[in-house]
Amino acid sequence: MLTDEEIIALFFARREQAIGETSKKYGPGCQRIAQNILNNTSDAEESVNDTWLAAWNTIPPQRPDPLRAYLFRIVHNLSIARYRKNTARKRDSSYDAALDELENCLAAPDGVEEALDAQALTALLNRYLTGLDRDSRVLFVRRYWYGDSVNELAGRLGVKPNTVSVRLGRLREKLRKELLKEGIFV
Amino acid sequence: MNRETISDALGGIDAKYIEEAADEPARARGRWSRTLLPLAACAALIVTAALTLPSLPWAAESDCAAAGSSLDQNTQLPHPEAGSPAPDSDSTPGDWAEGGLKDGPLQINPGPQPDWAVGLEQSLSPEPAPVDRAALLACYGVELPVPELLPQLHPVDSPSWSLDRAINFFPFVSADGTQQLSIGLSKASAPMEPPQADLRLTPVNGRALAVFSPAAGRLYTQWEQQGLHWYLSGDGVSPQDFYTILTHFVQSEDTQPSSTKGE
Repeated sequence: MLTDEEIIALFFARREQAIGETSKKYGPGCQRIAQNILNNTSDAEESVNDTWLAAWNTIPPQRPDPLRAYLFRIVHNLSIARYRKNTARKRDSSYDAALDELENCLAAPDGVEEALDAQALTALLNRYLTGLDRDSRVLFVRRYWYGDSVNELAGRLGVKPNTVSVRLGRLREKLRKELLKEGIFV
Repeated sequence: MNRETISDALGGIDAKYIEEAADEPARARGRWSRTLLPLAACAALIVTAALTLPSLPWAAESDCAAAGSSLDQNTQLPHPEAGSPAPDSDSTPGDWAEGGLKDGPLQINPGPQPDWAVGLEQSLSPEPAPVDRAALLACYGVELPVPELLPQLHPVDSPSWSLDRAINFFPFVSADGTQQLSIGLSKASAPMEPPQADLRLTPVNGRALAVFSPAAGRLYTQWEQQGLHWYLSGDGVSPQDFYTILTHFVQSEDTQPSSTKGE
């Protein structure tokens, strides 16, 4: 399998082999992200195809490093956009469940307002993630960014799903306390 | 805080955290095996893990099979019994409900498939010209009578079908949306790599296919025949139904394309 540098060189040389090599190396990961968000194979496959097109159109001038996170972010964003358009479809993906968890956890206490836009919340999330140990951070990101289901996470870690649920609950509570400490709820 | 704000905010987290979480959590798995396998060796003087793992007390720790979740690469799936029942086109996603896989002819490899797409033949176009199902299938020289094989599934037209795409997907869904089947077709030029030797292979019409389960309720396989690459994926489709589709479309390597019934 080619290195990221070799793949990016193919993009810069406008060789279509770049797409095949990217797909071979990162296709399964992109497919998993799209599937987790969309819970629909053909929609997910379209998101992944669109990701290769986006990569083709942006590299060059972009020279992403790491390439994997760049591609994963593209497919994540494309899938979210498609997810929001599919208003008629049942919202039952593992990503839906993950958003439900966070929405419930981050709801403002009764009678208080919150004034926080996405950008500010991103900054807070990054600070929060920096303060976590690696295992907790990976667990949080796999659940709430990658959209892995609790059962999938349990399978990966070799523990019971309930163990994963408890750990995620503690992480959400910790995040909520960060919001309170930062005075987000006023 | 609404879902859109949360979703947008999550989308902007630092790339280093996306990258960090991209790999398998080997540390957690390693910790498990480093702690427990030596205990197994000391407690039971086990020589062959395959003979004794099911009886070890911590084997119950992993509810992977019971939860029907993605399975660890080392998990041994139960082999289908001989004389398994004929594929049942009315089978429901409930086949998965009891912890993974019921009896059936499929030999399923847990985890993602090694390769997803192989090479490209057609050039990418920034604005692929749309084409309808009939024209596209005529181009590929195939028919896809999926509803005749699995009556619960119905074809769905895709607005992205185009001769400019390297791969076109033909989705089929059930009325309640719980079952989805997608057939991808491609005239890619590079040959597909054969399945690796350590994979469990499913015999279908004289060929051996590697079937994967990338996540709970999902099945995937790919094969090449008559210069066409086939990509088959199912969500919520039972292993028996998946096998039914395979037996219809997979051809042994020394036969001519069969004339299938129309859609």
